[in-house]
Amino acid sequence: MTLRRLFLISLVPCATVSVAHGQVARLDATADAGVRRAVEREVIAARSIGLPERLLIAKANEGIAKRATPKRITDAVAALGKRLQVARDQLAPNPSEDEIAAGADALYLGVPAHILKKMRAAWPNRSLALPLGVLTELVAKGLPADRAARTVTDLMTRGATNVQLYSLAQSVQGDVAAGWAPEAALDLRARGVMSLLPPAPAASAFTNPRRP
Amino acid sequence: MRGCAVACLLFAALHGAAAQAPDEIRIEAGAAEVRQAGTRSRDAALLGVVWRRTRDHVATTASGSMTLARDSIDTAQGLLAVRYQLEKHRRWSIETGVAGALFSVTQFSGSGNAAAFVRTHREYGTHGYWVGGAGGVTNRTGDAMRSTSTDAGVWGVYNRTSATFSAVSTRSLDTDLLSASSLPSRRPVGTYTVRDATFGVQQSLAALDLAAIGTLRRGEGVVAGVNDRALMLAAALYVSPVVALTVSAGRQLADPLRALPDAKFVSASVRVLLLRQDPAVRQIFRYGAIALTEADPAGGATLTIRVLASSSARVEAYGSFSAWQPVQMQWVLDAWELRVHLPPGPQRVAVRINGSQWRAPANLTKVTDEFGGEAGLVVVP
Repeated sequence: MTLRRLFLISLVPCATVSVAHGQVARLDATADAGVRRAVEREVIAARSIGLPERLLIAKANEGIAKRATPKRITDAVAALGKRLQVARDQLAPNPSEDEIAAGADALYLGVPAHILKKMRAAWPNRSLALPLGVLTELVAKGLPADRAARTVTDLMTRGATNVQLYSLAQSVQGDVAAGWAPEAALDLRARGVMSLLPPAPAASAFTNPRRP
Repeated sequence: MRGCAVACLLFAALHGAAAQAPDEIRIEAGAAEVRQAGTRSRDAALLGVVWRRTRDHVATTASGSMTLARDSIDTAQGLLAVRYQLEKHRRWSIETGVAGALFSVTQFSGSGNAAAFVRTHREYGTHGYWVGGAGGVTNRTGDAMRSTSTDAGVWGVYNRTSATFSAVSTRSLDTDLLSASSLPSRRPVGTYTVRDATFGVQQSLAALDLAAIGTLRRGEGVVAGVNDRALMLAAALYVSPVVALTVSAGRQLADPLRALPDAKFVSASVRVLLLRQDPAVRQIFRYGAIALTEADPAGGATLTIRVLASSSARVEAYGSFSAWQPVQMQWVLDAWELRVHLPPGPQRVAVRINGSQWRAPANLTKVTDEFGGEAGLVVVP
């Protein structure tokens, strides 16, 4: 091993720590020392496996802004780290940072992990950030995750656009605000979008998931 | 002459049971049974249109209404009003407008009424007051009969209930109107004054709006000693975010300024909202805060949060867009407002008043975070 190679290897951990410290430095100045150390650990771990560490810092800052206890903040950051990892794995092979964030958000609100994988199968080459956001909103509105996922995935498979999915969520939201049952509103609005789409292929990715 | 403008009073009652959205076109059509003092009841068809637009510091309202009864009750009326909020003194606004009416539209007689008004309002978000004056002229038989009035009132909103109290003093030469209304037993001659105290209350219950307006009147001058009172009730049931069924009944005292006769009525109509920023836009008047998104051509969307609260309050918003740092909202015309550009994807926002608990805007899906806080979920296209 040459001196030059030794020098390069020695730089790697230094650079990692340096970047991690740089990220932690963006934490709110009032952050508790314990929180700072815990977030630093999570950031280093996230970076080592290619997760977007800025989301962890944002979560910590959210907890600080909301005056949460240090334990709650560190627990929330650690839980987010796990959700980001699950989302990244389920949305493989090359999820964007927005997709991972949207996937982690969906997981937080109770969307099962396997649904993320099925949505990726439905749209392997397009961003899932908005469909995941729509699904998250529908689930948060009180719709069963499987039911909402089936509808969204069917629409994606049939070629629905992001705008159509967004309109669906907006319409359901308005209907629920007007007193409709969430499931009835989703059925009605989904039929409306379906009527604008070409006929379905033989089977959707959701009803017949591909085996590995 | 007994048959004169009644359309306005009917639609005043109908509109009383309606929340006003910042931008809308509202159409109402229905039927009524109208009985003016000293006459038999008559059936009438009603048609009304209201257009309202709010931009920056200016709110413009235009409306038109018709009552069709195949006789002299036929009336067409129009109103144009502009309200301007002072930029340096945002609690103050000035409102001015004109109104006109044609009597016996289908048997055109050239008779009618024109009126203009100006008011100044001071608002504190959930309450306020106004002072104003108006002048009008009515022509029925070739003689112009002038009327003037001064008015003052206070209003307040608490949760889903709003109340208004006003005092109006009207001085008029329009003795024909009082004669038609059978107010005094014999035709008065000369100037008279009527002083009214009016109390209105409106309650919103989910999809149902209820309103009641009561008036006590005391006469002076040639109608001295004449005391009277009236009550109107109105209800609007929203069967969808854009369609409502309305009913109203009661009595309207004669209004010399706008040449409205004394009349009792019962009416039913259908209201349709044609132009709205969002189906949830009326929720701002029901629940206090809403958030609306408007897609930007360059990507992402502009999020507008509006909060109904006192203009003296401290109203803040925060969310993922501000890294959860509170952002002071701005007082715009009649509510607190914040506009912010958001990138595509799911976002969360919340608002609070005077440092109280953070709340999700009413029209957004509520989510609870890991810290026990509440926020509204926004999906940006």
